Amino acid sequence: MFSPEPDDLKEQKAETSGERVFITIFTGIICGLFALEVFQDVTPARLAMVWFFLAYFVLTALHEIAHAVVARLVGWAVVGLKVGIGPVITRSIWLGVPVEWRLFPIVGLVEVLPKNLHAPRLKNAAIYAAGPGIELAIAALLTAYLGWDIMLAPTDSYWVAGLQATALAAVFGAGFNLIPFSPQPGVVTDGLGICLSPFLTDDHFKRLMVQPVLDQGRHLLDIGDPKGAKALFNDILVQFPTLLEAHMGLARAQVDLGHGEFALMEFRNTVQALPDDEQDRGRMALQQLREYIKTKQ
Amino acid sequence: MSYVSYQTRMAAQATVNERVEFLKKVYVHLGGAILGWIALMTVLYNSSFGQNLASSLASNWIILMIAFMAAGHFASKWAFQMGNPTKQYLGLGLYVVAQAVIFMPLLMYVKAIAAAKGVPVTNMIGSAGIITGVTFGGLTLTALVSKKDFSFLGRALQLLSFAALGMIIVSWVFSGVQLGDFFAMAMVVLMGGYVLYYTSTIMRQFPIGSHVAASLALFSTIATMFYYVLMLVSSRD
Repeated sequence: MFSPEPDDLKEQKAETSGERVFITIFTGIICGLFALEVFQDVTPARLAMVWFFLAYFVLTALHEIAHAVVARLVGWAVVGLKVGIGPVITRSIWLGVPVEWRLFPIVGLVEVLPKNLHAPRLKNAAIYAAGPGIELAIAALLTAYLGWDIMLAPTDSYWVAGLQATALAAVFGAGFNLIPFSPQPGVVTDGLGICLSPFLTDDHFKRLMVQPVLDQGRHLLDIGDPKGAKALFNDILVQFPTLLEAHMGLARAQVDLGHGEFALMEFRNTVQALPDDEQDRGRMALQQLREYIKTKQ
Repeated sequence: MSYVSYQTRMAAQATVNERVEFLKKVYVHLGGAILGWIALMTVLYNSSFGQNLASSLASNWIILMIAFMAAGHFASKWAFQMGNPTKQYLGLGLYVVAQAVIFMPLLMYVKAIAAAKGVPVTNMIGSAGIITGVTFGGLTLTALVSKKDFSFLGRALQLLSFAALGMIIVSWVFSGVQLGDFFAMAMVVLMGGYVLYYTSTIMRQFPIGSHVAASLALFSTIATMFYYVLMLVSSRD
C-alpha cells in the first residue's frame, strides 16, 4: 500500500529494562509454544507454516517494489520505500530512492508523487494495483508450474508443500490488500485505493505535486526566511491559484514580515471563495492563522 | 501544521471522578455484553436452528472467518463513532452476535467430546468459564492496581497475532494440520497480554465517552481467551 505513514509504523518501544525483560519473556513463551506446535511432528504440511512466513516476508518486499516500479514506469516520482516494522536494519539508496528495511517485513509503504496531471487517476489506480498484482502473478506462475491438481492436493513432498505455502502467502497478501477498507484514518488498502482513484479531484493531485515545494516553503518559515518563503508560495500560486496550503503558507510569511492584518484579510477572502466542500477545511485553516498571529504578537 | 482538532479528552487527562465513572461504564457494558453473549449462545445451543447453523458453519469455516473478521472490523469502527451512541451500541451488539455464532461449532464439538467421555458438557464449559474469568480478573487487577502502562506490548501483540493468523490460515488450507494444545496455550498467553494492554490503554489513551468501544475491545479478548481455554479443557482426559 502506498500512503502517508500509518500510525502502526510508528514505534511503541519498551523503554525500561523491566519492560524489555517482560517483553522478552512474554514473546519467548508464545514463540516457544508456536515452535512446539509446528515441530512436534515434522511433516511437509506442518513445515508449510514456516514456509508461509518466509514467503510472506519476501512477497511483502516484492509488493512494495512493484508499486515503486510501476510509479516510475508511469512517470511519477518515488520519494521513499519502507519495508517492515520494528527496528531499522538498514537504510540505503536504490536508483535514487531512499529505502528502509526493518526487522519484521509484514507491511510496507511506498511514497510516490505525481509529476504532472496526465491521466493521474488511471496512473494512481495502476500503482495501487501493482502490489497485489505481482503477488497474484506469482501465485498464478506457481500454479502453472505445479498444475492445478497438485497445487490443491495434500503432498508428502517438502518442495511441493513449500511452493503451495508460497502461493497461499501470495494469495493471502493480495487478497487482504484488495479488500477495500481503511484500517485506520488516513490509511487505505490497495483495494480501496483502486476504488477511490476515479473519484479523486485534480486538486488532490496538485497538492501531491507541490508537496515537496510546500515543505520547502514551510522549512524556510521555520528557519526564519519569510521573504524566501513568500517568493516560493507566490510561485506555487501562479501555477495552482486555488491551493489552500499555498495561501496558508503565504499568509504565514506575510505575518512573519509584519503584515498580519493584511494576511488575515487576504486569507479570509480566499476561504470565502472556496467551494462548499472545502469550506470546513478553510475555516479550520483560518482559525489556525488567527492563532498563529496571536503567537506572533 | 495539522488541520485536525481534538475535541475529546483522553482518560489520562480527565479528573479522578471522571475516570472512575468512565471505568465503571466500561465494566458495566462489558458485563452486559458477556451476559448477552451467554444468553444468545444458550438460546442457539438449545435450538435446532443453532445446531443446523453449527454444522453448516463447520463445513464453511473460511467463509465464516471472513464474515467474522468483517463483523469485527465494522463493529469496532462503529463502536468508535464518538457522538453517535446508536452506532456504538450497534457495533457492540453486532460483535456479540458474531461471537455467539462463531462459538456454535466449538460448543457442538465440546458437546460431542463430553458425551464420549461421559462428562456433563456444562462441567467443561463451566471450568473453562471459571479459568477465563479468574485469569481475566487477575490480569485486570494487576493492570489497575499496578497502574503500569503496558502499551509497550502493542508491537509484540501485533506481530504475534500476525503469526497466529498465519498458522490458522495454513492449518485451514493444508489438510493434516490440526492446531493443538500448544497453539491453544500460546493463544491464551497472547490474550493475557491483550488484557494487560487494553486495560492500561483504556485507562490512559481511550477518550472519555468511548466506554462502548473500550468494552468491545475487552470483550473480544475475553471471548477469544475463553475459546482457547475451552479447547484446552475439552482436550484433557
